[in-house]
Amino acid sequence: MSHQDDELLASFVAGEISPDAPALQALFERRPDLRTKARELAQLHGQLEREARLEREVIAEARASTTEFDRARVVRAAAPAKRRRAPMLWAAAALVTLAVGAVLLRQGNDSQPRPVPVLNDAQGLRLVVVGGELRAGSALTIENASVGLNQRLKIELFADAQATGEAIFVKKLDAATQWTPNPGDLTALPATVFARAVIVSAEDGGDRVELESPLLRLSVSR
Amino acid sequence: MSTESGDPYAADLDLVRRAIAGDGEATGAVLERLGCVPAILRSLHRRLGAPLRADELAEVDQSALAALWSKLAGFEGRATLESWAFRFVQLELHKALDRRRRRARLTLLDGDDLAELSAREEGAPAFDPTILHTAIAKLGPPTSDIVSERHFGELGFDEIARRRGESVSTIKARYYRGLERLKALLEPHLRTES
Repeated sequence: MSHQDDELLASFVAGEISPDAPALQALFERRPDLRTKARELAQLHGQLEREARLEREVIAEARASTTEFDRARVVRAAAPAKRRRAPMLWAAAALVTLAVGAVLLRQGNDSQPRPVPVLNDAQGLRLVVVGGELRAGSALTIENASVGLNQRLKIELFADAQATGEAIFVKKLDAATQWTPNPGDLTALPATVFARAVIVSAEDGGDRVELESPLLRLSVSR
Repeated sequence: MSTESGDPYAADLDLVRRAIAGDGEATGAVLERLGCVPAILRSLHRRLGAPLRADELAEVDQSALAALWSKLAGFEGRATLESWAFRFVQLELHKALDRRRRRARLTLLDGDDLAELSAREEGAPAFDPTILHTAIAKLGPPTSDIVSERHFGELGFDEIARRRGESVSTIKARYYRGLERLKALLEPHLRTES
């Protein structure tokens, strides 16, 4: 088969010339075996066109329907890999976070109640409590929580600043990012607690902590 | 996305390489463009007739996101970053569908379930689309590039010839011979579902 024959057949399979084109008919008369083969390759060309169209349409649709939540999840999924790539950078970030946390904890000891826009770690998860007090009817708000489909949000309260041992109180939030305590929630708590927001994996019924905000010192107001 | 020069995906390849090397600006740009990955999965799954249960789809979503960044090192600049992401997600989704088919056979689903599974897959292509790009790559350059550019780059034969500095006749001949070989490569993977 000549170069010109290949060119002619390519024009046919790509739909550029009609099956009745005289040059094509002449080729098929000369080489009848090419008729079926060319028809099959025209079908393959059509399948490739459909696959390519599907790809373009899905990408366009996905771009138009991507949410901020989607973007945040992609960024968060990339974070562990990037951490492994730059351990020193993350160690430095952790030191900065600890230093900021220490300053804010010291501020928490002051007697003046004020908004505490507290603590930001590298992933951005943070717990905000107005006045630094745990008070019935006053909300604790979690910010920058990118929660995946198999993850849940919780607020945990600890008796000590190192969060050793079991949490003395756990509030499961599921889809919510806010918790407003009832008076009954506070009755068994000590005068001071340390709170944190956590994202846990709910896979296989598990409860593994995947991300946590720094601990926040709160006075319990009854 | 594409440029007028020979390699339409060189800018994306450069971007990904800089991101992997730790360039913060490039990383941000890559992550911004890959932000559509969960939406690609949702769209693809819906177009396939939503064959997976919510928990199965969530599993695919989680595993795809978990593997996305590490797989990025395999980006070779043969398509746009979004097309690469599409094919990666498509592969993950089809792997999940294969797992489900195997489970269905093993657990002997009742007739209704099997009928539903088959009905939902009626719109599936004649060959496994995840095999397609591997088969095209096996054609080797320049044929693999010509087939990809013709279909997935949306370029006509004239434009491919102009970019490559070759005659249209030569490009067409290469394309036809490439299709012949591609058909032979795909033949073992054609679906034979009754």
